[in-house]
Parts: sequence; structure tokens; C-alpha cells
Amino acid sequence: MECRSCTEALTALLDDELAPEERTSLEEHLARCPRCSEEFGALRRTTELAGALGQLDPSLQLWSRIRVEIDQPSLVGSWIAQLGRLLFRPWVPVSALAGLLVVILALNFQDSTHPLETEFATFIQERERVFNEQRGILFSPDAVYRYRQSRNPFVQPASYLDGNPFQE
Amino acid sequence: LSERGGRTGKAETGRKRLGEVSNTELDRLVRGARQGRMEDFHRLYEIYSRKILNYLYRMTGSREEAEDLAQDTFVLAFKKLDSLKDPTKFQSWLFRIAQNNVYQKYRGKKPQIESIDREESAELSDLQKSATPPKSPEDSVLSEELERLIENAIAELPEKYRVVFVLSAVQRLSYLEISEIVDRSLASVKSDIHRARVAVRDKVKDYLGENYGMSKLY
Repeated sequence: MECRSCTEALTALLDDELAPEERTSLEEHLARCPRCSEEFGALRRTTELAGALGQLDPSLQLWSRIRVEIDQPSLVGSWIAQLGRLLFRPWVPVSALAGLLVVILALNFQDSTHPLETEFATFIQERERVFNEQRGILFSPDAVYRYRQSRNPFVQPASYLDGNPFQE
Repeated sequence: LSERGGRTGKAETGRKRLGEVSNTELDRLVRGARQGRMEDFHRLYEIYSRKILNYLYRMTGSREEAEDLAQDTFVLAFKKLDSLKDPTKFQSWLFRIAQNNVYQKYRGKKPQIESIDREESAELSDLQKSATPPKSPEDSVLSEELERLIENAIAELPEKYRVVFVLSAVQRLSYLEISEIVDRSLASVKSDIHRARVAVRDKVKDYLGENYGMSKLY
């Protein structure tokens, strides 16, 4: 075994992750190669130091917090769970599919409107607008009053006498 | 060279070496928890909470955030137990959930490591302090200076390497379990673990040079 090919295997040897034959071969190499042996020692010490780092113990409250969250799922969580359960009911996909088809058909219907239909609808709207405007003028209270006055045979509007050639 | 034997048998042997729970017991506990038996899930929590908490602590650098993420991890694990096909893979699965939580919350962010003692005194209530022994005797073999040095060296690793370093060197998981957790090939994991180990070694090289042999520790 050459030094170059054994570099990665040194860590695997430390972690007992080598097959027996690889292990034997590497151990033989280390026995006669001071450089690789030194490298192996440094890696081993690094690994031992990392393994000896202080460890935390979970606080007593951690389990209580977990238990509370399991027993009382959050509102969002329960909504998602309910939605998930709802989606797995057999009638929901069928209804959803039917609704989707209706929406698609409606959209297609809207899209298929002929330009002339649109133009005609605009024309009708414009006519209604003008008619309403005129109607507003014709049937305003003032106009109605004057119309009624002019039709009353017992009332002679002042304007009627104006320009009367028989009046002195 | 074979001081620490026992991991050659990959994941299976690794679990037995930890001496915490057999595969049969693990299978029973997971199935019980799936059926809603909280005492079984609590037992699983007792077995794995310390590992998960310390893994999250090394990934985030904060005890408070590690506890929050550990809470999220166990709650999600309980809710998603049905999706775990092989109960004997519970540990890898749990670490993977924890890892996903870290990714979601701290993507691309390096941890700001505070030493455990300082953080405990600053953040924990008296009740928590009394409930949480600072360190067990075997955990206190490193000097504060050396511990700080190594913590910083780990924290400065790129996330890709930090994950595999913590899982291999600190949590002592097998390469197979690590590849399952990070969802990468065994060869890729093996290579990354070595590179991470070399990077940390480079950071502590000067200290190791001054204290060559580590006779005071081992």
C-alpha cells in the first residue's frame, strides 16, 4: 500500500469501518511508514478530543413541552391535518373535479364570445345611457310642470299672450 | 491500532456497542408508540434525547435553540411514526428529522458556539440548573481552553463537513447510518468524514504540538 492511497483509509481505520483485509494491509503499512503513522496519531487525537467534548443533558421541561405539543396540536397543525383527512375522503376529489370542469367550461365560454357580440353589447349600453340621459331631461319635475301647464285649457300661459296680434 | 474496536460490524454492531436498546426492543417500542402508547414513546425519548440534543447543540451552538429543535424533532417523529418502514432504523430516521429541522431553520448559518457552562449559567433557570447536572466526570476530561478550541474548529467547518464530523466523531454513528441521515453515498460520506477530520486536526495542530502525546488526558 502506498501513502497516497491510504490517506482516507486512516480515518476509516480509526472509525473501525475497514474490511479485515484492508485493515491488516493498512496496519502493516503504518508499522513501516513513520509519516503515515504520525498522521494517524494526529487524526486519532483529534477524534478522541471531539469525542471527549462536554455533553448536555436534556432539561426536565423538554419532555413536558413535547408532551404538551403532542396532546394539544397547534391550530395550524390541526387545520393541515383536517385538510389532509378531508382530501382523502372519496367524494371530495370527485366534487373537486366536477367544480374544476365547471370553471374550465365557464372560462372557455367567456373566451369564445364573438367580437361582434361584445360590440353589440357596448352599443346597447351606450343607447341605454343616452336614453336615460334624455329621459332625465324630459321627465324632470320642471319639464313635467311646464307640460301640464301648457295642456290645461283653463290656464293660459303667459307666453301664450305674447305676440298676440289681437291684443292691444 | 485497534483500541476502539467494535464498529466494524457497521450499523448493527454500532447499536449494540452503545448498549442502549436491542433491535427487538426498539421494534417493540416503535410499534407501541405508533399505536399511541406514550410510555413507549417516552422510553424512546429517554434513549435518544441526549444524543439528539447534543447533535443539535453542536449544529446550532445554542442550548436553547437545540432544545427547541429537539422538541420539534420528537413531536414530528411521533406524528410521522407511521412513515417509518423499518423500526430498527429509528435512530437514523430521528437524526434525519433533526437534520432537516436544522437545515430549515439555520440554512447557511454558522453556529455561534458558547461553552456549555457559560451558557447554562446565563440562560438556564435555577430549576433547570438543578435538573441538569453540568457534566458527568468522563465529560470533564478536557480543559476549558481545549474544549473551546475544538468547539470553534467544529463550528468553522462548512456545514456539509460539520454534519458528518459531529455524527462520526462526536455521536459515534456508523458510516452507514450517517449516509442514511445525510442521504449521500457511503463513499461520499467516507471522503467527507476524512476531510472534516483533517480540517479539525489542522485547526488544533498547534495545540496538539504543544501538548504532544496528550499524556494528561489519555
